[in-house]
Amino acid sequence: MTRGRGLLTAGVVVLAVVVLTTLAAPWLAPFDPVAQGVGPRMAAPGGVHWLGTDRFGRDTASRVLHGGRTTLLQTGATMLAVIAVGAAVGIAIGLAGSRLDDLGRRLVDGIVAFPAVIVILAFVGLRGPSLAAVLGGALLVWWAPFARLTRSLVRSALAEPSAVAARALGASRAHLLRTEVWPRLIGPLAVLTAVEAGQLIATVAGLSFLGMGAQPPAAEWGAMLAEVRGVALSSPHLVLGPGVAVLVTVFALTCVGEGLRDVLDRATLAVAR
Amino acid sequence: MRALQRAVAGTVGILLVASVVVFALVRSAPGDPVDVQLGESGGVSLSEEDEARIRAERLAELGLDRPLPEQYLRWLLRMAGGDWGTSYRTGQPVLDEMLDRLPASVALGASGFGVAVLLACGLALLASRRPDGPVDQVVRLVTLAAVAVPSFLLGTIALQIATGATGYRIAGPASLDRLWLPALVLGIAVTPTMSRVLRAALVAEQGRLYAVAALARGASPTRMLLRHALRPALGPVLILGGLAFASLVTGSIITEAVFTWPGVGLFAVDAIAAQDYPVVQAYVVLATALVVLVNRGVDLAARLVDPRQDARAEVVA
Repeated sequence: MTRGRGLLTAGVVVLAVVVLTTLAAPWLAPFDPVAQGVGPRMAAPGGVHWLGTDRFGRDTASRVLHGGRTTLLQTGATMLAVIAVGAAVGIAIGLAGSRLDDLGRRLVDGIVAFPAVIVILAFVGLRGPSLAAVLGGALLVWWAPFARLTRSLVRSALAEPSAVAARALGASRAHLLRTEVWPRLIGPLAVLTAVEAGQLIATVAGLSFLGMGAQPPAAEWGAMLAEVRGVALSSPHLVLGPGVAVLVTVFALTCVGEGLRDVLDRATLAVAR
Repeated sequence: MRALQRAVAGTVGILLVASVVVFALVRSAPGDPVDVQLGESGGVSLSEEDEARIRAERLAELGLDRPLPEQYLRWLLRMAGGDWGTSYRTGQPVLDEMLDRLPASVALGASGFGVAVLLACGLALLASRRPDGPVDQVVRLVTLAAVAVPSFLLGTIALQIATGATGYRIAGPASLDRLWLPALVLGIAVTPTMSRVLRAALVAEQGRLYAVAALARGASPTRMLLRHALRPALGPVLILGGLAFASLVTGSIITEAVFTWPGVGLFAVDAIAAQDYPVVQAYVVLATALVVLVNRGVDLAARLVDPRQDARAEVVA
């Protein structure tokens, strides 16, 4: 019982801390994130620069704090678009007749099974590296899991006795969507959103590390990672700052998703009993 | 036999659909090959009409002035015939370059998969001995954390430790004494999903009559898990094989880049930085074809091994 709730609480708290610290970056950051030479070059962590400095003498901690804003904002916007498209497609397929449903389901399953990274790689490879290209490539495929989940939820919701009864009484599709489908949609979609948001951040960070995402000198987690691939072996502390920021954020999102799933599962079970 | 024929036809169909998508992606790129070539003629400035004339000639030569369906067919036939173009960087045929690097990637993928299977079996057996017990909780937290650790971070840390502790060398050709570290990192990246599915399957098997019967006969819980429950529980993991393969492909790109492991992933990453389009296209085609084939192969194998799989999968879904 406490298991899911504990995970959920922990995840929400950590996530809130991450978001708040990045929002408060201008006040929290000890240095200007783009100013060069605020300290010695490539300084190891400790003292004034508690995450060290990069090869231009910029303060890593300040850059991590400020960089989170771009990363979180852009990822959040992409997630919103992906959820909207996925839910719309899923509802459309789910409400459509059996023929279209079958075709749509196969199509969506095919996209879900395909590694998103390859599509993003192709997109970036042909358009040149930028955060916009990575997120644009992600947009092409990331809606599919949402469409798949929404479709199956719509189908099962419409099969519920209450939905069948409402339909028999002549309820319109819009009414069915609002009263029968929607309430069953929110919870699972929230779970998937948390998990997928974490995956998206991790994927974007990984591709940025390879130099495909945001380009230096932007203070953004991915761009910071892109700058240090060559020197990762000699100065690992430069990977540590943005890397751990990504890790903490993704971990928090995963915990939120998992905890939420547990709590919701238990709620459904309780109702079923 | 009928089923096999249908499966083959289905696979070819999926490959054709995938090829249309890849072609659309390639053709939708801003600029065209002629731009690139004209750009490469460097320094020499052409008059506008000269450039227009040369462009038209080159477009006709490359068949780019034809209608799109015809271009697609030509492209498909050329790719199927093994003519994948020439790398801008190395000047070598792209297909040869890819095939040269494929063994290194396969070796990394296979050993990473092996590591993942071992780790996942260990974790799942530990966790499923007492579902929801303290060990299960810890394993769950560990796998959740492992999902969140980015491969590049894990790789960088592992590399740091290994170079310090064992004199691990990052340079040089693919070899066994270089393989173990990236294989470990790649395996850890694939483990969480696998171990969670296996744990769920093991817990489900424990509730079955044969498991209870084994316990009643006096078999220890460990023996019951290892001798009786593990084998049927591996079924669902097999079905996951396609998914695992997809994450292996994804993971190998970053792992190869971190460890400069000379496989197709690293080649593609370098190609993107250098805007070596034929190589990017070749990587996408190769990866797409492999993922489709492995997915269909796993489906088919699972169905042949256990015809009930269909019914079971329906129940799970």
